[in-house]
Amino acid sequence: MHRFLHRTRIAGLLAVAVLAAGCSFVGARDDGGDTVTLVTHDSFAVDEGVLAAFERRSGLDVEIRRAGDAGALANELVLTKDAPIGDVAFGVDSTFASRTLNQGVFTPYRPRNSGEIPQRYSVDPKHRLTAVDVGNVCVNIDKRWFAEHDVPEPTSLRDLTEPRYRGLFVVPSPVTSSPGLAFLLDTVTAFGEHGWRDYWRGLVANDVRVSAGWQEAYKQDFSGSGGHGDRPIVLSYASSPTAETRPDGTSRTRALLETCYRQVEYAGVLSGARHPEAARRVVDFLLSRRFQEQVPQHMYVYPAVRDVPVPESWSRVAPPPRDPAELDARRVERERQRWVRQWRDLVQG
Amino acid sequence: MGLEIRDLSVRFGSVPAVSGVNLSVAAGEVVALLGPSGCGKSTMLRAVAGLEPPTAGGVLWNGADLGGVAVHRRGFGMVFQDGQLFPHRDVAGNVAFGPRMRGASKARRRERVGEVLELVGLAGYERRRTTELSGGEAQRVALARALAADPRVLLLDEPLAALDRALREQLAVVLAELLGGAAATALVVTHDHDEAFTLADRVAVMSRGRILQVDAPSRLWKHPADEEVAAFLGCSTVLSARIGDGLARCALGEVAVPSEAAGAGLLGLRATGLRAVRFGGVEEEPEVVGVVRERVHRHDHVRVAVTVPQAPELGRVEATARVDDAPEYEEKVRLWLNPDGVAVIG
Amino acid sequence: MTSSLSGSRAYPVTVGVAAVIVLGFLGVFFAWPVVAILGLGLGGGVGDVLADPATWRLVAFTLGQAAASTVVALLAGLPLAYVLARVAMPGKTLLRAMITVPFVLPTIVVGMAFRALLGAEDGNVGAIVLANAFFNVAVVARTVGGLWSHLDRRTEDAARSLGASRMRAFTSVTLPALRPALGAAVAVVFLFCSTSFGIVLVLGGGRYRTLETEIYLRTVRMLDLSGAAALSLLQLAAVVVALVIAAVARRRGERTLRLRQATDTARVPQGGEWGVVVAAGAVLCGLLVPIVALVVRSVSGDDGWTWAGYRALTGTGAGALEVSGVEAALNSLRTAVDATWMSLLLGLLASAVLVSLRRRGSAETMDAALMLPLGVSAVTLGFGYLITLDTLPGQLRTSPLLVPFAQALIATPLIVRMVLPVVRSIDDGLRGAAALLGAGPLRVRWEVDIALSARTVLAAAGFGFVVALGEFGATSFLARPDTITLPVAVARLLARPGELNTQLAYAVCALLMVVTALVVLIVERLRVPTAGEF
Repeated sequence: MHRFLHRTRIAGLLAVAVLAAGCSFVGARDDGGDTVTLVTHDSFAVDEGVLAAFERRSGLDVEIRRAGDAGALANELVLTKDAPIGDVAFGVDSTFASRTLNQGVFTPYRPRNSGEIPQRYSVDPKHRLTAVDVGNVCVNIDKRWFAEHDVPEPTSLRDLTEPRYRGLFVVPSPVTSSPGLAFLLDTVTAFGEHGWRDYWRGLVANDVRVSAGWQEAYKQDFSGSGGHGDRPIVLSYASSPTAETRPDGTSRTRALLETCYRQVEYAGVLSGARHPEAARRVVDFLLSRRFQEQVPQHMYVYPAVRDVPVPESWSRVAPPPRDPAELDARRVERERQRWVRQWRDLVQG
Repeated sequence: MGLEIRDLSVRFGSVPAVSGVNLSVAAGEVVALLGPSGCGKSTMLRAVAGLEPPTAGGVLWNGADLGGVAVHRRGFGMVFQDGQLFPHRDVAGNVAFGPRMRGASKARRRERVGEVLELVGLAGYERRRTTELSGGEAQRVALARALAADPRVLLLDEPLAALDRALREQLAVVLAELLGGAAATALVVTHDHDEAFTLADRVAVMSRGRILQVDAPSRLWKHPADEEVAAFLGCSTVLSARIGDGLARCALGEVAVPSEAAGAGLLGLRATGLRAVRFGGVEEEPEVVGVVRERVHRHDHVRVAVTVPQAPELGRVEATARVDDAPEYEEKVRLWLNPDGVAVIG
Repeated sequence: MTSSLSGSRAYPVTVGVAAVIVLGFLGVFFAWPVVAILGLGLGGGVGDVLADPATWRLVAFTLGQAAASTVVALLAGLPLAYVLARVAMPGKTLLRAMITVPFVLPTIVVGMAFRALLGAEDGNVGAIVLANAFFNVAVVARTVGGLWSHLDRRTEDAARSLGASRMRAFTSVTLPALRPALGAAVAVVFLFCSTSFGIVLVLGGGRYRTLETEIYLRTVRMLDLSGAAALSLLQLAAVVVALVIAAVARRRGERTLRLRQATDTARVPQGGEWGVVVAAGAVLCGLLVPIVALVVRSVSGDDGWTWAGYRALTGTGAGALEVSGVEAALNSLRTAVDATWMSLLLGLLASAVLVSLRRRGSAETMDAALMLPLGVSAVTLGFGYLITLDTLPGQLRTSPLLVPFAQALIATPLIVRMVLPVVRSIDDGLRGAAALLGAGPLRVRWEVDIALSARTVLAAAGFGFVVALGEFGATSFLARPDTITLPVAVARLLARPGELNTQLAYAVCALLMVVTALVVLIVERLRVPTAGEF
């Protein structure tokens, strides 16, 4: 009995100690006051100093809430539009923009410097969404592999169906992956409503590998990142080579700039926001020079605001594609599900 | 004053277990509840303890209804048939449990444990694990545990049933002394009349959820209230008789009975109430003759079943014979009535 | 004269309060959100989905792979359970810790490890089954091993003396006695496998789909709520059927067993028993291969070995995370501590209620209700939270406590599964004895139920903690950036290019394994056997 009591006492003390040491979220304070909630996707990242400076200057406390990937974000916003989970959202991309606009998720706001954003990024004449950054989904290659194997590097989508690139390409599935979906849209743009399926037949015949996620394709199967995979061609982003730079400043990989599909990411003030004024200031902040300048380094995308300089290494190893493909957002919204279904029947049927 | 059970009924669904029982236990009195298994006596004990909710009636202590008093506030102690010792505590931990619940100090607890272990003859057993105890020791620890809490009433549910015969008889005596010495108020459930008669001041015979008779052991033995009680108390034969002048006359002869009553009556006959003696046919034919139909050797006598040609309506009648003079199968024996084994029913 | 029941029977009041707490929690944090999100989708399209033969292929594949995974986990787990329960050997604590580690690993990482090890780049059902089993071997080994170590060995000896072979004694005596634990393990593993998400996605290569992955895709990517609702209903139905089967299997098995102290039943193996020990060793090696692969991956860089990932643990991986790896570890611990005490509280209250319910039907219904969260998609629950919790006071929808709440939903049924058989096997007479000696209803629970099941409760708490540590689905959905846990950090890091992020991700993974092993070792330390305790 004494031993038992002894042990329960120890366990009790342990529990108290654990709780007292702050090993609990009970009593963790939810910041009140001038908090503004920014709803965004998992890939959102910002330089701490830049954000802190904004909070200091504006007197706002920015709370960041993540909602999965870009697709999940858009759908969560639609689902909660009557009781929004925040004040302002960033990260709805051109693939999902139409859905949020149709559902009235956002309310119009025209930021001060919206004139500095190229017209081609605009998605809504009512200014409910403002472009913040631009990403490009492109085919990437492992330069070293091609040099070592004495195979000429591919340049276009069409090249990937050629026999000499057989068994070299890995791409994430459009069903389960955002860049995968962008690549499907890319092929639809490049080969048209009738040609894209033939193109994919060619890819399948050329032993393309389809993975569920970008992670498996890029981190595991691609030979150019970490040198572990067996496939030197992968679908990734125009900016990916910047993550693979060597101490000498060169990159082991290269994006094929003729294969790119553009995805613009937008921000907007949520309808029914509790702090609409603060929300507008956050949008302004996202378009500010200081935020725009750190976008490449932290989110691997290009700033949307005109003439914001990108890091020097970027212009060397990851220049933006000159004329990437892009589909009209409304058409994407209308046809996406059909394309995905057809793709599934074709590739995985 | 003391414990009073009034119109107590317990049902399990539609099955009545205890039906309208009335019984009182005076302070310092030991009452045994005697009955065959399944008669509801254990259920009644559990209802008294508060472990089983009564469907009607109630339990009173010194005139106050205990209906609203939870088990742990009744101050009743209980010894279970299988001990129910706490396996995670040693002997001292078990015995000290009651005092600990009352907030007794450590020193006081230790002292009390020593006292009651001494009382049940287990001095020095404090640190033993309960799993190391023999059956008899375990039951004594269970008793010590109940006593250590100074219960107002001690409830014993077949406390000795799980033990072998020799141990049972020996412990019954120990228990009787303990209960008597402590002037305890106790209710003992048992199916064994020897045990009931050893322990109790009064015995209540129970059957099918009802109490048939409550009496002092000697009176119960001699005067069972009806045939059922008589049968349970070992009377295997019931026969009509004429009673008068301290004698009862029946088909098996005459026997002295303590009854004051006169007129027609019923006798209950235990095996010991009829002696069977061989006579080998040499003597003259005795008054009552039986023919041995079965014989079984018991520890200190031979039990025989006989048929009586003079009274064929009795069928087979149980009787006893001496071991050194046991009759053979089919042998004719002389039968005579022994007043110790004869009860007057009613 | 009649007496009132309320006073003398204090149990019903306490039990009622406990039931209200448990069912209230389940109602607010599970039933309401799930019903709300399903309600949004009902009506349109549900019939079409149910009429589509592809849907039924999906159901068949989901159940098939779950059943196969359960069988493999069972076959692999039993030798380990035997070794844990019956073999006297040093280092068992370490063994227990080692087999628990797989349970917490992020599915994406394990998926990628199996993908590389088994060459399953194009999607492979065998790999899905093996990986699911890999995760759940610990559930089988611990649940079954726990009961096994308390079984009285003499019943087996009796069977042997009556002429039964070792195998025969096992199948005719031991196996039936283990049935409650086997039933519990099978039910839990089957639920885990049928709702397995990351594994199916990564190892299915997007080609193989289950109800769970399809619900995720329809909810998160397509916002096809009616399709998702139809599939969720199917999933729920499948889960309920599985639970009913488990309950029926359990019905005859759960009873008062002759339990012994654990140390009495372990001994050096004899003869054919060595075969089982060898099998257990093989399973252990199988478990270690992916783990070793992960560790190797965490220290291998572009040009040979590197500690870069581990050095980066104090940083945020080039801004990929709001917190450092170390802070994520602290978040994991905090969240898991909260989830553990919540699920322990709920689990013990639920066990108390389940033991007190006299009507078998109501007990089984409540038991099944507690298990349901294991069979519902994390994304369904997460989206349900989004549309319901804003009506509650206190900003719950964005509270950091939401994560432990969700984790507690998953850990509670596991704790109940472990504690309930032990509490049910406690002789009710002991409770009566304690009450008669002056212990009030709560004191009885403490002095008898808790004291007698203390070891199991402690083990269950440890397991609940581990479950919370490894939980990914709900956590990734609900965690705020500053409170993300280790598994979520791993997933975020892997979603970014760059070798350092990858190394850091695997280093975080290793950290998660170390934290888990430490927790298990600490819990094992507290589990010293005490006199007389089961």
